[in-house]
Amino acid sequence: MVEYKLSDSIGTRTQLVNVFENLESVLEKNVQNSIRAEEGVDFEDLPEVSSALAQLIKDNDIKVTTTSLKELKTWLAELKQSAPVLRLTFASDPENAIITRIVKWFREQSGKEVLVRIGVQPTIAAGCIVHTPSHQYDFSLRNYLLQNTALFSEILNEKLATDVRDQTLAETVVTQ
Amino acid sequence: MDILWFVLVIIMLLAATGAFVWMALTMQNGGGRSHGSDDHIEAAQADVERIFNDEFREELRNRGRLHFEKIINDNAMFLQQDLQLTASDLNEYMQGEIKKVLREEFSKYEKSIESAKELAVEALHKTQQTVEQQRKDLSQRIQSELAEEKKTLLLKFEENMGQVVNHYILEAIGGEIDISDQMDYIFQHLEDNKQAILEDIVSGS
Repeated sequence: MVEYKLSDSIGTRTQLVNVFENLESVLEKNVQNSIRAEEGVDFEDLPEVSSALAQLIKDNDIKVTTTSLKELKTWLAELKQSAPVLRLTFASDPENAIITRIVKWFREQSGKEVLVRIGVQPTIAAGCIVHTPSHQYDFSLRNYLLQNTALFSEILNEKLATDVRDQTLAETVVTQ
Repeated sequence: MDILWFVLVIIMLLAATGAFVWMALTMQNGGGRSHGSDDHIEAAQADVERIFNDEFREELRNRGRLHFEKIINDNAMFLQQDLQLTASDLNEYMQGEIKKVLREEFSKYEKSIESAKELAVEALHKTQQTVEQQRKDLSQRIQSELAEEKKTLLLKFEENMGQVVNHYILEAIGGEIDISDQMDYIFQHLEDNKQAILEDIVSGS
């Protein structure tokens, strides 16, 4: 099987499925157009190629033929089944550029065509939560604050101690 | 002395009566022997009857009665005096004895009272010591419990306060921070946990 490189813009599983379906549609219309040409029908139904699919073809420098597209389709189908999927949860819906940046980092570091699923959970305030198939990594601000609740107590106690010292000092000065 | 006189008078009266009775009997026994003796005896009897007539006997009886009454009165007076003296002595003796017994009883009673008082004071002292000890124990326990309660409340306050502040921060800034501004923070954490995440990716694919 020919190996390709998934474009960084195709970061989510949904985007991958969309590209796959778009490629299927293109191939189907190619077949239909071929049959029409053989039959002498003067009509050609041009397929709609999405920007993601176009980018994928461009990134892999694929010469567009029915065969090459079928090979690409086979690869995408395999990827759909086997690509590792991470779930990322943010406080708000992230822009595509951000998703692309994060996916690119995962793929560069792991050497695999990593896909992501994006979730939104406003209560985490900031940061993100990464769900791998077996673990969860909470990089949210909420988790950071919860883990540092003791720090709040320490700061509060220090503040109270400082206030008591200041008050005692003030009383001493007034007495003198 | 008066009793003695009274007894002597009685004896004399009895002797005189006995003498007359003896003379009368003697004269009666000798009457048969001579006529002259009988005359004398009759004359003596007549004289006796004349001397010791009813008036004289009544006089003697009255005198004896009066004397007897006088002696009785005198003796009654003496007896009364003796009785008064005896009663007075007896009264004094009884008073002394009663005082003595009462003094002894009061002494015993005072000792008993003193002993009971000491016992009561000792018991009171012990009770006071026990109460004082219990008060100290209770005070220490209450202080300890208060300190523990204060510590618990403070801990709860700190924990809850931390949660309140966290909640406030999350509510205040939630959704207000642009994700683009968070990227350095996110990538820093990804870098810190890169090894574990990549292992999960490799093992899960």
